[in-house]
Amino acid sequence: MGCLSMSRVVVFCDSSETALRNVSLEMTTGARCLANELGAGVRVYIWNGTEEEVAKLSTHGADEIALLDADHDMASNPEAIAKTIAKLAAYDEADILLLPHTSFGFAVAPHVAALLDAAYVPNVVAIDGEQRAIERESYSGKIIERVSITAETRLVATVRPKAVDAVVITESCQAKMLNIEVSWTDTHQVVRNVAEQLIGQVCLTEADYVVGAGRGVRDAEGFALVARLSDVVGAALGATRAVIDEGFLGLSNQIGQTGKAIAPELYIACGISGSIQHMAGASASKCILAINNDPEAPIFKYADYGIVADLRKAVPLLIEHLAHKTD
Amino acid sequence: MHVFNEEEREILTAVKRFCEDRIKPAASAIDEEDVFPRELYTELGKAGILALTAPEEYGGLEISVHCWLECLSLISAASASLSMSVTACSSLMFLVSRFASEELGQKCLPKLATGEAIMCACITEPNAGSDVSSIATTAVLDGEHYLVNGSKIFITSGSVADYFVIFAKTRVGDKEGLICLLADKTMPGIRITRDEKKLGMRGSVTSELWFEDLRVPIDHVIGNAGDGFKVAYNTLERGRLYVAAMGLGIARAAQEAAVEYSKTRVQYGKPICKYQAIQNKLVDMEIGIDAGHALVHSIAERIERGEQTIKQASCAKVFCSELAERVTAEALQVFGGYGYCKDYPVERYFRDAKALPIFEGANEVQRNIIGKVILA
Amino acid sequence: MRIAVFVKQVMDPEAVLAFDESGALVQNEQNLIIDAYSEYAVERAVQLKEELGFEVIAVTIGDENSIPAVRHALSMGCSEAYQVSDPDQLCTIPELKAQVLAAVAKEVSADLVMGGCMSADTGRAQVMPRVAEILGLPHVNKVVEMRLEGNLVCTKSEVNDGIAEIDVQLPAVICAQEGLAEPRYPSMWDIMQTRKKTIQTRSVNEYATSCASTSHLAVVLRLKEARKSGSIIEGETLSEVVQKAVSALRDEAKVLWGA
Repeated sequence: MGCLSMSRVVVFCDSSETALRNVSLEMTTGARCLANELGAGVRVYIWNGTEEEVAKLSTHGADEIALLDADHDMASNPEAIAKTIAKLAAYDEADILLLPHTSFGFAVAPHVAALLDAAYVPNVVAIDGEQRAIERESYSGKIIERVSITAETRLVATVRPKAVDAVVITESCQAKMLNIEVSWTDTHQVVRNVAEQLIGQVCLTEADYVVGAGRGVRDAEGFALVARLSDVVGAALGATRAVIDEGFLGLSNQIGQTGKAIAPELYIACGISGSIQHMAGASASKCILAINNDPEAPIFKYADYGIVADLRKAVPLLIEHLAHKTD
Repeated sequence: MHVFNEEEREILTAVKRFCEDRIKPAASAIDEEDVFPRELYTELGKAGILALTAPEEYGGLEISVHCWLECLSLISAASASLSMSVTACSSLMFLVSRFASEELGQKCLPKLATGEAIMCACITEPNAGSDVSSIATTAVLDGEHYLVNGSKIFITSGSVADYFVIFAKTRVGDKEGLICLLADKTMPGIRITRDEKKLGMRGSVTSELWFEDLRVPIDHVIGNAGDGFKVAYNTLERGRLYVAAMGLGIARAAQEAAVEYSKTRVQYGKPICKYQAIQNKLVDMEIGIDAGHALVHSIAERIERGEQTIKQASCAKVFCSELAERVTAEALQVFGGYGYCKDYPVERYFRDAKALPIFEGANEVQRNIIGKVILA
Repeated sequence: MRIAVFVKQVMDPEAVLAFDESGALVQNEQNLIIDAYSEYAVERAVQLKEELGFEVIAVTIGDENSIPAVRHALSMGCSEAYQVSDPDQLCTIPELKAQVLAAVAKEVSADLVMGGCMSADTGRAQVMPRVAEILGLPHVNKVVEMRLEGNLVCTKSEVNDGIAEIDVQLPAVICAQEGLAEPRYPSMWDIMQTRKKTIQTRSVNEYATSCASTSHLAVVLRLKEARKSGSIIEGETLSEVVQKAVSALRDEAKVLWGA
């Protein structure tokens, strides 16, 4: 392949993450793969990173790391962040910008792309450094779009958590620390309040195990049963829209095209029919165990293992078996 | 072949969406609980679906017969039981708008069109079903009223109805004739004695009624005294075509379920749809449904042109009702043991379809009608 | 006050997709519907019309197949509709589409511009922010609640693990997320009424000025491999079924018990 001369692949971590999330390491490794082929460097912007986190980013492929102040008033203002990132990217002469495909990335990245007059590629599920291409999902996860990277086009992309493997590339922590003074600009947006809503200890998109609740939970009792299963398994708890609308969980726990895309080792879908919209966010799960009393539910077309039963009967049995799994 | 125009396509898209979103998810529970889904029916009315066939002057939308038949099929495919009520409503709106006075029309049609009120047709009696001439219920002129006495059975929507279209024997001059009267539930003398427990079409009400000295004002006669036969036959003819459309809907639902299932059910290492024994069943269903479709729309064409359809409506009723019976039975067979269980909707299609060759004039009687025409 | 709402006609999300020989998605014969995210925006806009008496103008871009989308928006209660004819599908490029929509928003003198935060088909999730940038207006993405207080648009917007309350001054651009409003079913009367309304047509050539960056992106589409469906676990009793499932997770899938 001819040499594309690019200067920089830049990674922007999520400003809302209180501790470094895996997706930041995944993006860094992905950026490294692209940068190697493009003859570019990898610069990572992280918010309030600890020394340990900085070291991790370094071993995962960052050449340069800059710390941003997450405690600044403006750090929760999507418009301010977008404008800041656009300014930094222009200053860095960044050719490729990677952000996480989370609500943060969803709101900030297209704005950055618009400000930079760059192309925007959301929902990236694979980075193919060697072929200089990235792949994204569209049509509710039915289509893969393969986008080739060219020298002419500046690119902003959001990368799905768990889409790229985070790999330790070097044992030594040689990344250069940059001192960057951010000058926040005025914004139109006034952020009055940010209310945390996530229920459960484990972050959905990062979790190795996820338990999902669907319409089949029917009431608070059914929901409590599914919640207990997630506790026993040590899984993150997610839900379909119907359950969110019932008020059992907040929006932040929604799995699907509208909500979050998960890719755990195991997804236990309880009383979930398996609509296209839900599966758009769940089909990347490595293994799916589905419990539904309707044998015709589409979820069984996706599930590795299916149990046709009322979850009220099956989940207690499952809890019983899994509670002793450490024995 | 009728080609739907843009407006009709839009209506069908909207009806289809309503069926998918509102009716289909409720269908199994309607069957299980065997209770008339009043709320859903009202919603159907609010969506304007019941108004589709009503005349414009009564708040209706007067769509083509072609389009309405398609709507009925869609509703039947989602819930045949609910489509019983819808079919009854549209047949009766046809009757009232065609034969009743403007005042009577204004009294009930707008409410029927919005689903606020329900109407039932009271024809069948213990000794008079398809044989309308044997009706024993009497209507005796008494000053400004007709005094109605008698009993009716198998009345669709009877116990949930607000309006009753009653066929009764009466004296016209010195002869006996049939009269058609409109009563409403506020008039004393209407007694609902029971609702039937049925094999299928559960959730659609089928009632037994008694009229005891029911006083119906003389201005509530539909048509003229003695016009009863004409009113009944015209309405039944339309009703038969509607039943044919219902049959196509149920057959389509069963066939689609069977096709889908046969692709996923694996036996001896391949999906069962790959076996010709199964494939031929699916193909025969398709052929039948296509033929039925062509038949009902050819009749819609005749109606739009103002032509007679007595024989044709009977042909369509027989063909499509028996098609539905056969297709649902074959679809159940494709499902094997699972089809026999309530987890899948195909057993409901099977039970519902069994009603079609029986009601709105048993198929034996339809064959008599057809026979009479071709042998005349 | 005038609200411009952008609506998109998309393939039914349930559709089975296929490609033609040129590698393009086959659109013919597919069931087309208004995009769900467009519908949330239309519903909220129509509610504002009903509450406060605004004018709501529905706008779509596309070939003739896009017309039912604005008709549907009219049936839901929009006051006017525009279709920008784009028979050659130039506006599948988001930058170009944003240019055209921004120009239309200006033409109809919109004080508030609304649309979906993404579409259920291509899901490129960028047209609205780009429109905002072209018009020099503030925007809020992923809006799940909004109301007007004078010239202030008060929104609730979805952030990672919660909800942010964000205010912007009018004129502004609002990107609708699921939950913003529950779309109504237009009644048959609404649909028939809508038939009598005229849809203003424009041509994409009147607005589009240049092809921007995405046009340089080389994109190849392919169908994603469907998940291999597994098996329904059978057994005499539910207890046995669950036992078998747990064994399968442990011994076959090798999950939950640590690698």
